[in-house]
Amino acid sequence: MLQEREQLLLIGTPGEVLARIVPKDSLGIRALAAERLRNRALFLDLERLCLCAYAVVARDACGWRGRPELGTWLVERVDRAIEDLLAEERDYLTTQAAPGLSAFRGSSTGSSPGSMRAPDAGTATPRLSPTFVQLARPLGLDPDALRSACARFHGLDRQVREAFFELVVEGRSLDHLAFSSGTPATTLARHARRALDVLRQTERFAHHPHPELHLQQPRATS
Amino acid sequence: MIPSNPPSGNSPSTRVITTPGSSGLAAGVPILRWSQPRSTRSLNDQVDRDVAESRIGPLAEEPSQHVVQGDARASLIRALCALERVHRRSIAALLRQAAEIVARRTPSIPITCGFPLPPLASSVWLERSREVLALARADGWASAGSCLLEHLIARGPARWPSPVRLARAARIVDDGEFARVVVGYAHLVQGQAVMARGVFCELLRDPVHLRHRSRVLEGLALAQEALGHDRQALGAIEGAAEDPEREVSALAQGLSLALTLGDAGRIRHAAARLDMLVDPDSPDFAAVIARLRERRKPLMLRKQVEHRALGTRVALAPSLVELARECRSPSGRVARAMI
Repeated sequence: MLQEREQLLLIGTPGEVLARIVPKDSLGIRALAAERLRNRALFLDLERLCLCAYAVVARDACGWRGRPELGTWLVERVDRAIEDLLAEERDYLTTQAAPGLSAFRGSSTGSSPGSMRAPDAGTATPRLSPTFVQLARPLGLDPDALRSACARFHGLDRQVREAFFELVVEGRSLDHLAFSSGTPATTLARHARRALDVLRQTERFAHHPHPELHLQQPRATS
Repeated sequence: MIPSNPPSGNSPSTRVITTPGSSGLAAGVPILRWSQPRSTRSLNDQVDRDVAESRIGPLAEEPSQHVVQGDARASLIRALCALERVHRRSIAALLRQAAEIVARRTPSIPITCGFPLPPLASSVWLERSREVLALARADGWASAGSCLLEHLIARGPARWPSPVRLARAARIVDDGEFARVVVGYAHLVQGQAVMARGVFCELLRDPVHLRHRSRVLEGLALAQEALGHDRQALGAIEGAAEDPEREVSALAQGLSLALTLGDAGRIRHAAARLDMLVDPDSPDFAAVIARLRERRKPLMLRKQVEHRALGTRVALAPSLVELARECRSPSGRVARAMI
């Protein structure tokens, strides 16, 4: 006997499945996405991740026939959406470092005229998510620089990111964490400091804008 | 999503997607407008043409303008944009895989480290492509990329365009770091070392955040070697050898370059690492040796032609001869592949 949640996936085109699962988040993808982000110690826009996860679920729904079990299958889809977003963020970093790459106008790769005209859709540089703007501006940070810093943070080893989340984001005690994880306290502190240094580059970029990044002037902070 | 007849005033190639009644929203509300590409162009023109003709209509282009807290319709619009990206990525992945299939089938310059995609049987590719197209078509979505995919399915692998054209088409459909890496390797396979070097150098402007850094460095090394810049090639391949996943092919390639240059210190170092890390009987290593041997043939031929023009002969370096005597060791097998 199929559960109500499972029935949402079994019939219809990807677009129709999407129309069933998005309005009320019937599959609980938002909560699952938040849980996976915390488990993997990542800073990603949850709203964007949810949209990507909805799309992946809707697209793959036609291939799901009850195996694996729905919960496991949804976790795999959310993880895939996370990988897609991480790839987009890395591509964003690459275009920030080399602005000439952003338009992909084939300056060094196209051999025939007009062979690499930049598409309007499907580029690897999605526009800035409102989340970065909402988070950065009250802190006097530049949204672009914050986004770059988060993408650099994701390039760190998982244990470094987890140490940062545990100690800085969740405010756990260093001694307690060292005891429960079996990792020396100095190692944990070093990991967290390393992650913090990467994120603090946001502040440095805000006060010393790199000409290639075209940063906005930060608001004066008290 | 039920594609409705285009309203008057729209071009015949435009489709309007409306909400079905099951979504909980008012049925028949236009959400997205897809523009279909013209289908009269040749396959080669389609490869070169911009896929911007699958542009999302203005209702969905700026979804943030329509977002109101808790607005289910706006969420659905944005989710449909995300679905469009998923379709696009799937098609681009299939086009890249098609480039790999053609690269494997046609006589071309062997790449020691292999193409950056695992080999896929063309029958499996056909099955997956039909599935992907069916899903996209069911949503009324089409683009130059999906039209190209349909043409590839209809023609069969023997009549597909070159790896470079397919890889570049994939990059137009969905650009990104890996898409560009595949373009670079496609240039290598077709013997276009200058173009390949340009692609990899462009990617290496920000090497720190490259996901496929070792692949890029290997590709750059192969391009430099093909252009006769062995020392620059050696520098690049030593960077690639730091990645445990690329160690075997990078070390084999690095040893062959060190032997070519006669750099005794680097020969000793690369040989020692290779002998320590590699099982000489492993199929992966055997594949690397086979590709290395095939790759050396045109390079050796070019050197022989150059020496013949000068009235001299190509002499084997003593270090190469000495290492080649070690028949069983991995480093010995690399040396023998170069003779």
